[in-house]
Amino acid sequence: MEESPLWHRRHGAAVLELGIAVVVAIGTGYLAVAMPAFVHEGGIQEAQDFIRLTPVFFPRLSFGLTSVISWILVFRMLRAAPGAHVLQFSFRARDYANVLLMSALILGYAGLLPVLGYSLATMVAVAATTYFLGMRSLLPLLAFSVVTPVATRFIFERLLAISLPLCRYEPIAEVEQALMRFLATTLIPG
Amino acid sequence: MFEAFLQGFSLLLRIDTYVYIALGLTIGMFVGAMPGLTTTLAVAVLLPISFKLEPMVGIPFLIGITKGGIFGGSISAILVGIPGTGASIATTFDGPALTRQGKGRKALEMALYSSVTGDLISDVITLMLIGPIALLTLLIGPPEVFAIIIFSLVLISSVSSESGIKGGIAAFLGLGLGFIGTDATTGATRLTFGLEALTGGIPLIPLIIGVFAIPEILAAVESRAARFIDEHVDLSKAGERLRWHELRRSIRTILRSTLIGTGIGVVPGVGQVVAAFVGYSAAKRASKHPETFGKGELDGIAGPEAANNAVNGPTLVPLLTLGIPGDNITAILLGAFVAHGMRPGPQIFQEQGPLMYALLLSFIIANVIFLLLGLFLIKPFAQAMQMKKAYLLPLILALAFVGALSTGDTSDIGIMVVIGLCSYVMRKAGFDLAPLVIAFVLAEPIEYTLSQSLLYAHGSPFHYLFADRPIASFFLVSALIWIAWLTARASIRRHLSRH
Repeated sequence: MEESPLWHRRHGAAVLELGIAVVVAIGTGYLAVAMPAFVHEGGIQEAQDFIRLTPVFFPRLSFGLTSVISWILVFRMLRAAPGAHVLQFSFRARDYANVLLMSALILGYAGLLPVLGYSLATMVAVAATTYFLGMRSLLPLLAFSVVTPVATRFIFERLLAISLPLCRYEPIAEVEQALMRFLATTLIPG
Repeated sequence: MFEAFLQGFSLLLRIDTYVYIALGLTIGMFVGAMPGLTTTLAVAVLLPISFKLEPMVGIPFLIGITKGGIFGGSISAILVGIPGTGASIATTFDGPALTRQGKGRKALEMALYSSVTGDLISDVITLMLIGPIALLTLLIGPPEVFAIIIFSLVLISSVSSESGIKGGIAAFLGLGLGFIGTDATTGATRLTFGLEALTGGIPLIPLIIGVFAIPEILAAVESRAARFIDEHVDLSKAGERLRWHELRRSIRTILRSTLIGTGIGVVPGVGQVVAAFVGYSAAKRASKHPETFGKGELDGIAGPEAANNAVNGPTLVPLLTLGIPGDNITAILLGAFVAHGMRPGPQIFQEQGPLMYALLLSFIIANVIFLLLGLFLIKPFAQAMQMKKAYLLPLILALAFVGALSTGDTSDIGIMVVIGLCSYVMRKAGFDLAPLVIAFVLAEPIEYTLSQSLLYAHGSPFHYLFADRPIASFFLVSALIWIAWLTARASIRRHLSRH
């Protein structure tokens, strides 16, 4: 009998939940135990002596408790599961294809930004995302991809004084700056 | 205190505050009307804008987004039966039925009037109560603040996730993340894993945007639909406007729900969704015709809408007087206050009383703008609900990246993306990340207050906290009782389900 997609989703979520709980339990348990290795030399020894607590104390406490609670969740889930059934992984990539593609787009955008600068990277990312989300008409796609970085750069950089990275290639960076100067003289009075 | 209140009025005489409130309300209503987008997302992504404005402009701007967002959620809830935000789920019980009867416009206007009234009255109550509460909090010390923070975190963790255990995991993870970087007490750096970018700790803005914006974008593309709402919205069939006698009939419901929402708002972690459900069921129970609920009853709109908006003001009480955020929005607001050089807590009304009162007064005035804008914008936003994802999501993505870049460090983009992707996976597994963010912002106060308490304790912390400090003891014992009750309840439920 074919299982419904809903069941797959629920089952997948249970597996994911268990997986996350195990990873968090092991990871935070390790951090709690090995915490002294993660504290760098330095700090004020007198302050540590005065408050009688080392910088290890609070992180170890919170990671230790996270680990304990996560193990409780793991055992509770395993006890509630119908036999070993829960361990059969039934994640269907097809259900999450869009999410995986969008994640790749976000990672690509993050990777491009330091190299191409905000304007160019945003133009590429917006064009790719807009196309991915179903926009197939070339003119609106191009217009939206160009207007979005220019408008956001102008608003945030010129009106709100948030500086955004420029392209590493100087000729392009100069064009970006010239465009902003032009918009500023045109749109901002005085 | 009264002098500070009067001085607060003089800070209100500036037009830019109201322009930004109107802008915030407009953005909030728009985002709220979109079922795939949340008010928290809008506040998170636009938080950096508030940093660049003066506190008297930037913070009311964020409050405007919140107020507008909760009401905006009711537009799609009423017209197409899809709640724009969690707070408007209860509005779907009667909203679509009223629309089918040709009373959509009446329902929308009832939602607006109820929301504005609930918000306005709760803001006035907040303004009246916050001064005396702030004075009381001056009498308490680090052990009490520590105990109240622990009590709040237990409460938030237990009610936010589908299981208290998951909420607890999220909260402790948030605390752990908050301890990354330089220890404020001893100056030692910890958990940086050799990365220079983490020396100062995980920055708040990339964390907030990562937790609240990236998962929303990914969740929005799960479905292949081109729009958030596919149903056609025909406002020409929305019918007549709300009449005075209809509004008058619901005034009692609105006032009752306002009090419910105000009471719920003070308790950390409970929030608008619960308030709306309680408001709805209270309206139904008090009605002479409970059988009409669910079939198109205007009181079924007034009840939840007044209650969910009434939560807004009181959530600021624990935030401003103790520095404890009760939900996602107030956690982000705490970030905004800190960025403006204000640390919410017992001292803030002593140090910046006039500004605090001016802010609270501006929230009250914002309700008038809310009413006017709401009347004008219901129709355009009802149509904007059908906007294509292909335009909205890339814009939100670009704004999220600008937000992370506002810290001036491009490495924060990496932090935001990693946190965002992890948050999406955790949310798919049923983890609510509100406790994580709230615990993250409370990590430093917890470390400070517990360190201080241990110093005062002279080697016997348990005796000191539980015997010498009755207020601290009350909150710690309450937290323990709450955990014991939740554990016992879960065991009983498991036992019953087996037999």
